Amino acid sequence: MADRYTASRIDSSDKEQLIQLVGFKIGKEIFGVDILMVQEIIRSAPITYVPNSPEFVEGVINLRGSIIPVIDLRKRLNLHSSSYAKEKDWILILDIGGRVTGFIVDSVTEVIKVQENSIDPPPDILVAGLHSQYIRGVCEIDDNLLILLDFSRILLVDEVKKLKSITLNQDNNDADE
Amino acid sequence: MSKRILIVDDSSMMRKMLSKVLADKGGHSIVGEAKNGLEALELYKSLKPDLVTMDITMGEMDGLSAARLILNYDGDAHILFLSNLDKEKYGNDVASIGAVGFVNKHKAQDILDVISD
Amino acid sequence: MIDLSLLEDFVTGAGESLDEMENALLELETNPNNLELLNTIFRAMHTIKGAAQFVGLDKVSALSHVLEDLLDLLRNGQRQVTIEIVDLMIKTKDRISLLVTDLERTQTEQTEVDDLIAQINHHLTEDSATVIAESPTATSASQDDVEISSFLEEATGDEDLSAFLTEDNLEDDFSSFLSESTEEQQVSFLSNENPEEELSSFVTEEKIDDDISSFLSGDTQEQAEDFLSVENNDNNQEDDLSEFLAESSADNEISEFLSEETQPETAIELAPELNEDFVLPDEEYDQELFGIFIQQLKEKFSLLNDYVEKLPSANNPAELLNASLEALESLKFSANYMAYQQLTIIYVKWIEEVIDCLENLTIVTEPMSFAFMNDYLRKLQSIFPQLQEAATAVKKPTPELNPFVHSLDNLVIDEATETATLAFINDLIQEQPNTVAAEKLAIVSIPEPSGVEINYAEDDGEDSDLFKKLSSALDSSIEHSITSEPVNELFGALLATSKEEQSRAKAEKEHSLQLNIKTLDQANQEIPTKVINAIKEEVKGTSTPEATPKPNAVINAVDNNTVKKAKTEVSADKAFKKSIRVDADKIDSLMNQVGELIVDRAYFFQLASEINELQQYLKSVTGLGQKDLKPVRTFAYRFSEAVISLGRTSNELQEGVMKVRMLPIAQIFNRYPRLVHDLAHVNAKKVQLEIRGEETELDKMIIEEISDPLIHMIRNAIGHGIETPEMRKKAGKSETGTLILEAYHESNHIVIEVTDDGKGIDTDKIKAKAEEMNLFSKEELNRMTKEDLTRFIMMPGFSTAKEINSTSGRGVGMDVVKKNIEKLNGTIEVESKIGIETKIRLKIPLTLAIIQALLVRVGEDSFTIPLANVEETLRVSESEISIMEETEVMYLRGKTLPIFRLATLFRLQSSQKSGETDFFVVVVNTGNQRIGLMVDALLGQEEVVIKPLADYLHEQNCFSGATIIGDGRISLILDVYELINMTTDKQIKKHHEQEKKSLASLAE
Repeated sequence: MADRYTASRIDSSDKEQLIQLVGFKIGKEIFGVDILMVQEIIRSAPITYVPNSPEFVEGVINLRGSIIPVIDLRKRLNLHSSSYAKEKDWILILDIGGRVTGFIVDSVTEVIKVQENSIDPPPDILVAGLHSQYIRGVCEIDDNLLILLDFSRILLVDEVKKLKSITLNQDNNDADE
Repeated sequence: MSKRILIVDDSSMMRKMLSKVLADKGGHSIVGEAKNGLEALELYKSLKPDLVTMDITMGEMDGLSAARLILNYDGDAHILFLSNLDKEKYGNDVASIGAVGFVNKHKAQDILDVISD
Repeated sequence: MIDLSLLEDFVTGAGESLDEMENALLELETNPNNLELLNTIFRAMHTIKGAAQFVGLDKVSALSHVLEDLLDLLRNGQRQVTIEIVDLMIKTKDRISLLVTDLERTQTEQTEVDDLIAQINHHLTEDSATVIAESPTATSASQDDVEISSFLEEATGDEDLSAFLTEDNLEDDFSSFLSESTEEQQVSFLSNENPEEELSSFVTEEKIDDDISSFLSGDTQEQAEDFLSVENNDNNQEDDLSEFLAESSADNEISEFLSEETQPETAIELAPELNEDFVLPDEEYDQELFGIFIQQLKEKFSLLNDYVEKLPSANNPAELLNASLEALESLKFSANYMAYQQLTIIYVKWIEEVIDCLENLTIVTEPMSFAFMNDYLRKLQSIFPQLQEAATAVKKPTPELNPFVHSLDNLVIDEATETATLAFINDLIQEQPNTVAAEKLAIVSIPEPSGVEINYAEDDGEDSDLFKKLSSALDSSIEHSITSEPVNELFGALLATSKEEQSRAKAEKEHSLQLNIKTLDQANQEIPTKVINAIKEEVKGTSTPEATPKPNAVINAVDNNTVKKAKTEVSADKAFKKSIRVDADKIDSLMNQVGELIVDRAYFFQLASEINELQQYLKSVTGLGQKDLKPVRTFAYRFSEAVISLGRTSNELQEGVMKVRMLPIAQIFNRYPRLVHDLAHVNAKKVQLEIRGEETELDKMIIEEISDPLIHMIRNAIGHGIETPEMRKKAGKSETGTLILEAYHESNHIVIEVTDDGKGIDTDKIKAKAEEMNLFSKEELNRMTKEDLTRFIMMPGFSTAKEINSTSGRGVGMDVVKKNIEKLNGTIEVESKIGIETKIRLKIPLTLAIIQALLVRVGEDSFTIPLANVEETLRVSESEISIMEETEVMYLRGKTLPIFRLATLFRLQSSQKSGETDFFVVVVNTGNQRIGLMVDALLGQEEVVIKPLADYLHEQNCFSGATIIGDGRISLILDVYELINMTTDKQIKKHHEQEKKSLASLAE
């Protein structure tokens, strides 16, 4: 009786803490993003290049009349570029605090359910060559490490701007010399 | 029971808040809003509401005069006075013109109670 | 407890009231004697208080409550508006705003208010030193009386007092309570509550109470004498009435009244002699309002008259006095509303005396004299001759209604026989079929009153009270006819009157009052005659019901402009009534949808032309004959018809939605008085703000975008343009500088001008600075015009520079202003006359959402250039292009035009083949600078919907947005301003490098 009670209690608390993630791959790494942020997932759409934009901005797409920037997540996170040519990209359309943005990833996996308490805080060391500031946490899934990305950090405007000004300055320096 | 209510108040804010309370909490339907006595009379004639909530101090025509005119037009009109001003001061007036009652403006629940009675 | 569901409404509503209040407060600062402003502030405060109490916001209601009390003192003229008080009120308004912000963010009231409440209370209980000088005996009492009256508004009985005291947020009213309550109450109060510092004020209050009683006892004799003379007047009343009626029109007096000049000073002197000439201000009020005012006045007057009659014999005079007090309060309110200051003051004084009298009732046991009441009544009567009639009518009701009803019958018959009248009535009936027709019928079917029997068993005061209402209704019917109310309303009033009159007559018989039948008959005959005349006049004069009948003295007294104004106000009011509040996001999304529709329309146009091509194709390839192709041709024709129709409808829809987004610029202009006020304070300058054209409408998005640039410009104008009062004096200017904000439409643009009459922009200093910054050589600078030099203030380098010198530093953030304005596809111009003025003119297109644009192609991509920036397009051959200072240039009508290849700027692959010698050049400009952009092809003009880009794509970039073109692809919209900046930056850089190089080579 007492055992059952305890068990059911654990069950219910587990249920409450269960979160659903959309998993996706870039190269060999598996990443996850909270399903609530995912607006939709599309196969590659015609991307219009935006001149003079930061390097990781692939361009803009027309998503049913809205113009949405598309970021190459691989470039944004400075991950190693894949050695093989991709057949077709997937674009994750995320709503990040009202800013709808597309992220190019290699592939998208099924929805993954994980327990909130199984997610560990980001390690201080680099994970998969990634700065921990972009990581919300990590958790283990079938012996693989799933990295939960913090997309609001990825899209932090200041940082984006900083990045851009660096590239701009470089440009200017180039021009000066 | 749901009632068809005409709200009379010179402050748009009060009108809005009253209609929210009466509609959302009281389940009544707000058929019209008037911002002074003259409008109230006009709207009363065209809308024939079950009940009128009436502010007392308003420009153009005050609530007491409007109530008198409405009751003159329709002896069966139900008028409920809502005011910041004191009941003692207006209570007699209100009673003398045959209104339903007088409720202090800032007591939303009281208003609902009186209306549903 | 805070009712969260209502909080949102409160936050929005309170915001509006606070804005209104702030504007009025700022105006009050320069115009402290304006009662209308005080009323506006009071109303705003009252609204907030009521709503705050409703929602359950303790701090807001407590604060607004004390401020309302203070405002009451100010309105009653018992306290003078000082800068100090205005500041305090602004502070209070700010505090309430803070609380509202708290509520918006955290749903709780976090900001403390006790300090301000204490400050306001200090003003409320302040020693009478600042009180306006009146008759010496009254001085000390008056201040407290006002508190009493405001207190009495709150509570009249002991029960209420205790209820009042248990409300914790009203603790601050102790002082006013103390001044009001009798000694007994004070004692009980002291035992109940912790009086704290109020004790001290209580002591002084008590002294003042003594003053009141001595003041009263001193006056009583005088009043008694007055009373006697008034009684004599009463005997003469019949004569008065006939005299009055014999007058051609009582309204002449009103008109005299209205035409007389006001003397504001007399409003402050509160002379106790009531016989002093009284003048109503010649205010511009519409006759409707005046009618209501008079009607109410008459009603209350009869009530008061009644009370006064009963007073001497009444068992409980306090009850009557309280009733009078209420009538007076309402009279005061309406007088106040009409801005009749002197009248208001009379009421205030009257109220004071009634309150004194009430107080004495509880203290003094011997019979009191209520003569002063009569004094006031006579005084009022002397001001409004109409009242005499009211008063007399009260006393002489009519038992014989025959003549009156008879006249009514005649009236109906007259109308039936007179064709013109008939036509008019028909018009009316058509307009208001229900009311008019019914009333007309009702009038005809009025039974003869003499034939009806009604038993009145009770003989109480109510009947005479009812009669008073009748007489006032009678009066108001006259008033109606005079003030040209639509005839149906008149009928209604008459109907009501005659009905009441019947029952009245019977009541009167029972009461067996002494009646002067003769006078009454006269009155009765007079009334219908007036009515008929008025109607006749109306019919003769014009066929519309709103027309102004000739004999109407009241209307004649008001000039035509006023009438017009009143009418437009009414229509504006009506328009306002119909308006609804819509979430801005909804409009934005609607606008987006319309944008999509415009895109779809473009697509359909494309399809239509494709069908034509298809037709050609079928003809040439399949070799089908004309007959076989007919269905195709017919379809193509019908299709293009449909597309054209779709185009028309979507155009209209687009315009309609755009209009919905239009808002008056007052939205932002109204924020600036406060800004100017604060800036002037900070800079120790005197600035008067003039706002013109605030009703000019423009797109809501633009309104949001220009707010900050305007703030910058105003800050500059006050900080750097307008001189200190001393400097202005020295320069022979008035100490107060003038800042003008003006908005107006100019074709498809809105122009906003910010003009200050300050010291202007010194171009010599700019020249020196430019030289110092090594921007241009001395020779170049000398060649420049003043306009060119002035433009430097908007250069980024210039604005970030510390200052031109310590006294003049114009140009702070002007580059930001320029950038913002040009983002809106607008232009900015600066005009300055040294020592006289500086005018900055912004010219912005009316809407941002949809622009006319030129589409161009570079390589694979298409780009969109706002047509507003396009000067012309050229086809240029390579030979026309030469290279100057490493930049490609061409000569266009004798001027050099720098040419930039978009493909190079954007690092794109041009589709231009190397062998080609012809190029397309689009000449673009922003105000004064222009460049040529080389493109691969021109795709044509189109109306495009601007869609925003993510901010990191938008900033520091050459694109202001993007648009979706007919085939669904995206075309980026060029930000021409940024583009030119980018290219000129490069030019300047190159220029510098060259100089460096030449210097270096020289050094070698």
